[in-house]
Amino acid sequence: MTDPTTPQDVRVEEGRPGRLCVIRLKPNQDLCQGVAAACRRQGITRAHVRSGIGSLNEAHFEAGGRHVVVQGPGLEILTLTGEVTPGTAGTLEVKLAGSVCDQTGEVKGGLFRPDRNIICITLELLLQEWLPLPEP
Amino acid sequence: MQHPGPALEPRQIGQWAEGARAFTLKLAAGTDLMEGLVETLQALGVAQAGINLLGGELAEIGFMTGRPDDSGYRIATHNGPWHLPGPLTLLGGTAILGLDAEGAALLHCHGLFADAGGKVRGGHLRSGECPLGAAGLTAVASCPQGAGFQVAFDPESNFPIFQTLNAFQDADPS
Repeated sequence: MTDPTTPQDVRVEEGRPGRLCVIRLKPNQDLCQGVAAACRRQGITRAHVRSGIGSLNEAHFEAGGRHVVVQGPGLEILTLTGEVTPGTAGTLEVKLAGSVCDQTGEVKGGLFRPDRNIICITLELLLQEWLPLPEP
Repeated sequence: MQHPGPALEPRQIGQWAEGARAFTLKLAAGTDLMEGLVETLQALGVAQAGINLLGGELAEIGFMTGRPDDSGYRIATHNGPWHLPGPLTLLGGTAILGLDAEGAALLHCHGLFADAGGKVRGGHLRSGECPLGAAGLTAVASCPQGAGFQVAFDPESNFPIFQTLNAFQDADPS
């Protein structure tokens, strides 16, 4: 019999928030790859985005199963959420979602593709380590 | 894209906080969104914060967007400012509180908002031009201690821009 409070398809990781880390990404690097590089520099393997603000040359989203492109440059990043987790073979996996506006103020959003979102002027980021408890 | 100045290394800069505080903030109608956040956090002794705007209402808004800089001085610059009458529903947003080049508080804030027809827009909010409407504002601030941001002129992009505090500490004084 299945315990209704712990469905089999739900994965729960108990842990606690750790230290905060402030990060700036400079221009002409991909958003997700730049966050991964910054995390490698700081020794971060697991973290959640607490706050992120900046701009992109162009935005490339996955949204509703489609590839959405927003032309820039100077697209303002309005919201940014996501996490950093260990990937395969010592890599880091960075999954970020959010929204941007173009020069008319029109807003689009989705999951940021991990290779095509080039920082325009800057990204200011606040990450918080996630410290999972050892599995019993 | 080619920026006006040289690409400066390192391309990522970061700084660990030595401690942290966190707050849920609720600002009242009539308070300016950005001024209210800054003044409230300053009163709590906070100089550095990453802030998530959870939602609220704006009586009106002043904001800017980004656009290509045709002059070539920068690759992009601000567009506007634009002003919209309220009431507007604030759907979310992000802000970083740090220091300006002289050491005074500076809030960099982007948000998105819906008008009475449900049309959603967003942009770079302007301090003193975003008075809150009847529902006020709820925000969550994560506040690093011993780390943060301060503005310095960035010769790569030709913008005065937030750098991490340790970029100043690590700079060669000569």
